[in-house]
Amino acid sequence: MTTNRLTVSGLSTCFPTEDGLVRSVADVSFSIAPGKTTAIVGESGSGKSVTSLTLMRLLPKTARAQVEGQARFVTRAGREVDLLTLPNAEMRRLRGNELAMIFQEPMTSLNPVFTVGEQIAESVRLHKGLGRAAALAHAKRMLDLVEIPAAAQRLHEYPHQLSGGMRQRVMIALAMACDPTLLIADEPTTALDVTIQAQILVLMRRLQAETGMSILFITHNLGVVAHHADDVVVMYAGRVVEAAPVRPLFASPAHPYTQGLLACLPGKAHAAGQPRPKRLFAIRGQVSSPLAPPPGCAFEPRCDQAIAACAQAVPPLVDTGEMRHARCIRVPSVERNAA
Amino acid sequence: MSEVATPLIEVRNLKRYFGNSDKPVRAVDDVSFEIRAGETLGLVGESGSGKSTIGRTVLRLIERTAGQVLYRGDDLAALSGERMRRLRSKLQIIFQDPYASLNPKMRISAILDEALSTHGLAKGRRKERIAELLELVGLRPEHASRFPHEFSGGQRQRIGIARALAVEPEFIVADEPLSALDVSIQAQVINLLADLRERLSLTMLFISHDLDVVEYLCDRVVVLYLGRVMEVSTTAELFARPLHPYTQALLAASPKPDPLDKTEIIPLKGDIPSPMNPPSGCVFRTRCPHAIDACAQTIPLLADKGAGRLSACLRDDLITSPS
Repeated sequence: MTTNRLTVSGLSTCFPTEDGLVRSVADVSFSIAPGKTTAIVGESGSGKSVTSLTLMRLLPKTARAQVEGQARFVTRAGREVDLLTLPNAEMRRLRGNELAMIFQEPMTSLNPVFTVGEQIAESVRLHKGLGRAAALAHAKRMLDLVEIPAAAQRLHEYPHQLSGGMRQRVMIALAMACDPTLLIADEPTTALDVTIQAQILVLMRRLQAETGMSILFITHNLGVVAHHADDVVVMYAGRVVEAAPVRPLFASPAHPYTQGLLACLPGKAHAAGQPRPKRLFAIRGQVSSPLAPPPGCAFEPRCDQAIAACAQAVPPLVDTGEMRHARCIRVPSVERNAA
Repeated sequence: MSEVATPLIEVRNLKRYFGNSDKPVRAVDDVSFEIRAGETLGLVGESGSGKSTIGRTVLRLIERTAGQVLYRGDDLAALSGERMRRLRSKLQIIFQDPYASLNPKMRISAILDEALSTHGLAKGRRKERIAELLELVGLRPEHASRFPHEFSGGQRQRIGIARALAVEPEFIVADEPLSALDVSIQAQVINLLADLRERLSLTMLFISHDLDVVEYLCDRVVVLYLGRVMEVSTTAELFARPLHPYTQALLAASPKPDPLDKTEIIPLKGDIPSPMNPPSGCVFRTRCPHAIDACAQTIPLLADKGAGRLSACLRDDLITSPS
C-alpha cells in the first residue's frame, strides 16, 4: 500500500471576529495519493480556500486564526512532517519548493515590478542555491515547459505585458520551478475564458503525468472536477459532507447536498436530444450565516430529506464503504449496513 | 418558445468603436441579428467578444458608432431624448454584479419607487405595487424597508430583476445575470427568469459565457468572437451540430459534469487577438484549426448554410450533412 502524499485529519480553522468566533473550517479530513488529484468542491463560504491557506500556513497573522488538527505530509526524501506544527523556518524551506500553490487571479499574485524571469529565478536561487545566470536559464526552461512562445523574450517582460492565460502559465511555471511534490491549485481557471481554461487544464495534466506530483484542486466547477480529479471532497459550511472517488460520486451522490448540487446543473438537466424540462431542480434557501450555524446538520434548513433528528446534532462523517464517506444521518454507514 | 415571426428588435450592421485614434478598439464590428417577440436570444462569446457592448448599445446606454437598432421598426438612435426616455420603460436591463448595481444607501422600497416614479407608474398605489414586485421575484413585502447589504447575492439579483420588471417592460437585456452567483443559487434564479418570461411574455437578450445555461434558457443563439458574429442558430441545432469552427471549439472546451465523458479536449492554440489590431480576413483564423490562405484575404459573410443556419466561414467544404 502506498503512503499518501498528504493526510489531513481533523483540521479546524477558527477566526475571532467582533461578533464572535467564526468556524470557517471544521473537522476536515482527506488525503491525496502520490501522483493523484483530489478536488475540493464547494460554494462561496464552504471553507475550501481557507483549508488550502491553512495547509500552506499562508493565513495573515492579523487574522489570528486558531488552527487544530494534523496535516501529515511526506517529503520527497520520505520524511513525514506535520505542516501545521512545523517550525516557520522549515515550513519556508518546503513552501515554494516541495509545496507549491497557484491562485485564482494571476494578476494579483504576480509581483508587478519584477520581470517574470526574475520571479521564477528567485525561488530556484533560494531553494536550490543556483547562481543568477543559472537561475535565469532555469526560468527560461520553465517558461518552455509551460509552452510560452518566445520564452527567451518573455523572460524579460513584466506581468502587465501578458494576457490572462499567459500570466496563469507564468504562475504555473513559478510553482513548478522547484519540482514540487504537492501542488495546491485554488480556482486556477476561474478567471479565464473557457478556451484558455482548456489549455491550462491540459497543461496541468501533462505536468502531473511527467513529474508525478499530487494536486489539491480547489474549484466550484463540477465539469472541471469530473474531468480532472481522481477523488472528490465536497464541502458545505466548513465541513466535509461527502468524499468519494470521482466516478461513484457523480454516478450516485450519497449526501443530499451533493445530489442537489449535481441535479441543479443546467448541463445535466436533460440528455442530448431530449426536450429541456420546464424547471431546473434548485436547492432552496441559502447558506446560513457562519456566525449562527444551525445546531444540527448545516444543510438541514435547505434539505428536502431532513427529519427531526437532523436538527439535533451535527452528524458524523461515516464510512459508507468502497472508499466513500458521507456526513448524513440518513446515509447508512458500513457498520450499520453490516448489522 | 413562440413562433411569431415579427422581430421586436432588429440589429443591423451595428458597430461600436472605442477611441478616436486611427486604431480604435473594434468592440462590435458589423453585427446583425433580430430578436422575435417572445423569444429568448442568447449572446455567447469569451471576454472581448463584444457581448456586453452589444447589450448596452441596443438599449442606447452607450451610443453606437454606426448601424441601426430597430425597435418595432423604429431606429432607437434617431429618437429624441424625451421619446427615448419614455420608451425606456419597455426596454430594461438586469446587470451582472448584484453588488455594484444596487445603490447601497437606498432602501429596497426607494430603489423600486424610483423606477416607478420615473415612468409615472402605479400612482397612488406605490406601496402595494412594490409589495407585488417583491412577491413576484420570491421575496417578502417586509423586505422593502431593508438596505441592499442585508441581502445575499441571490436575493440582490432578485431585487435587480424586480427593478427591471417594475416598469412593465417588453424586452429585457440580461447581462450575465448568473455569473456572480453560486451554482445552487444560480438554479433558483434560472427558474425565476424562466417563470417570469412565461408569465409576463417577455422577450429577452440573454448574455452569457456559460454554454450550459444558454442551452437551457435560450431559443436561439448568436455566437460572437472579437466583435463579430460567427454563427446564428436555434439552440437545439447549435448544440447538436455546431457549424462554425469557433463554435465547435467553444463547445468542446467546456467540460461536461460527467466523469464518463471521455472526449479528449484538444484546446485551441494561442490567445484571443487584440481588438485594436484584429487579424485580416476572418478574425478567428489565427486560432482556427481549419484556416487556409483565403481566410486571411476576405472577411467571411454571415451566410445561410442550409436549413436556415447562418455561419461566417469560408470552409463550406467542412460542413457535413447531419449523420
